[in-house]
Amino acid sequence: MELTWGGIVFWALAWGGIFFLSGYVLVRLLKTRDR
Amino acid sequence: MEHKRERWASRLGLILAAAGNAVGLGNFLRFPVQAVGNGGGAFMIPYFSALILLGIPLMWIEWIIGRRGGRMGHSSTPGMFAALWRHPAAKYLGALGLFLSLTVMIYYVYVESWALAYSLFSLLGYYSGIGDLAEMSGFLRSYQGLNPEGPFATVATAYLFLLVTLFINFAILYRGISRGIELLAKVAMPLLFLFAVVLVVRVFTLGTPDPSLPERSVWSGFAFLWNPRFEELGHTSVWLAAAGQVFFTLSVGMGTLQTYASYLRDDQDIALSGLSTSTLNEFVEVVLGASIAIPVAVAFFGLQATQEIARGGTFNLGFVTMPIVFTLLPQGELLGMLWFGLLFFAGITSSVAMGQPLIAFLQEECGLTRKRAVLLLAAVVFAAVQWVVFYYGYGFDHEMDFWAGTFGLAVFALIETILLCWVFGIDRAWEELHRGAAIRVPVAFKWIMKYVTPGYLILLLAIWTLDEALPKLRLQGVPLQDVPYRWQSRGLMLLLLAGILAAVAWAWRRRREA
Repeated sequence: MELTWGGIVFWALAWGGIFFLSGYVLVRLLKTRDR
Repeated sequence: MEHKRERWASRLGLILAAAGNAVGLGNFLRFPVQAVGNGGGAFMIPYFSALILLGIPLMWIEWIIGRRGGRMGHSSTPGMFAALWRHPAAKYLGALGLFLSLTVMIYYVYVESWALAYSLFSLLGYYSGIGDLAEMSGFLRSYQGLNPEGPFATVATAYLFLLVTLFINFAILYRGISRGIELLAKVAMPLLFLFAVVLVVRVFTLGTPDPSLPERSVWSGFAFLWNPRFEELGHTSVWLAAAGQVFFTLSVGMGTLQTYASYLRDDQDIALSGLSTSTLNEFVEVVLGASIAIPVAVAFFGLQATQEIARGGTFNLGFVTMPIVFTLLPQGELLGMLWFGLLFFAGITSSVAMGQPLIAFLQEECGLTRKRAVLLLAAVVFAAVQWVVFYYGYGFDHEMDFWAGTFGLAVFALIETILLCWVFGIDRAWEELHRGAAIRVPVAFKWIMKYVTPGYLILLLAIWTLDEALPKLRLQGVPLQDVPYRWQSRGLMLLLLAGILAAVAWAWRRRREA
């Protein structure tokens, strides 16, 4: 079985979404670390 | 007995402990098996839908209930539910949270102890001469005491590792929240992360282990997992499996997250902490967990064999396929130690979370000291786990895993969603979520929590009842020799539930009389 373009896009979206959210929560945690 | 309320020492410690609670064996063992068994790319679409519509809203619901409960002096769900709904039945609904976490803990610690044993076996090269699936499966069965012809004549080795695992769990629980659970999370979570990253890097560099079989490559495994297959989305079983996985992986519907949240101060953030916990869990599951067992199995055994292995049971990919692969790789002993070590860390950070609600209940509502509460929990778990160990081959744990670890989670999640969003009121719940919040949650989630999450849960439970619960209740398809043991498993669960309900009734009567 080979990775299709659909698979590459889906994979990129899933990982991209998780990396984006991880970055977002990390920045927010650092910004509000005094609270 | 009044005692000083415990607190988390730091926000990082809290998030690592909550993520440690969520990140468990489900991320590395259950997820690959569910994904492979439900069509790979076909599974991921309902998985992400369930994550957004069920998992993340339930995470916030549990953090709201927990912090509010803590403010009122309750760190376990009977007291928390009674504070949400002033009705005599509320505390008994909350008792389900104690029952589910205790029941799951009973069989979970046993599997966790296998990981501890296998990490040592890997380092010592104990299974290094085994090269095929049947033989490795025989090794596992022998370890479980089910194959006297194998290297382990009895279950004694497994029992010894179980005792060690139980001792570590209860020693951590005895040390309390900040000096026990939080400290464990601060050590175990970074190590787990490091071990997983090393393994993922190794997987990505595996390529095609046998060039004469080009279809067997890690990329075939990734293709199976990520190529979307929209035509299979019509199968309800895939949607059910995905929702079940989201519950299990986030540890929602179990009564554990509420307990962790109850040790927060009233002005401490829960919105960002809840989201951070979910995000960290998904990072470990979808980025790390999905990139180890499936691509490795496909690269070494092919897609069809991987699907057959996954159908054979939840632990086959982790405890049968992976050890064989380690025997074939350079530094396999070390890689095996990392794999089983990360499974152990994932397991223990979850199992201590399952023990804490009952300890909190015994201390706060029944007036026991921490020492006595831990000893009582240890005695109950130790007594109950004997059945799991000695009747393992008869599906004793399957009954517990379905009724408590799968179906029960959805039932409890529905109860808490209705209590918070409908009885207590979504407006008050929303206000509670944003008290001291470090982020503003999109308002769409207010409506998701009120309508979509309970609607999704009702639909899920209705289909589950018809498709799975009723046939399982009638023990359809269960081998005849297993039937008496399945009934004993149900008897044990009923006994635990009755004991917990009686303890809740006694605790409230004691309080009234005081």
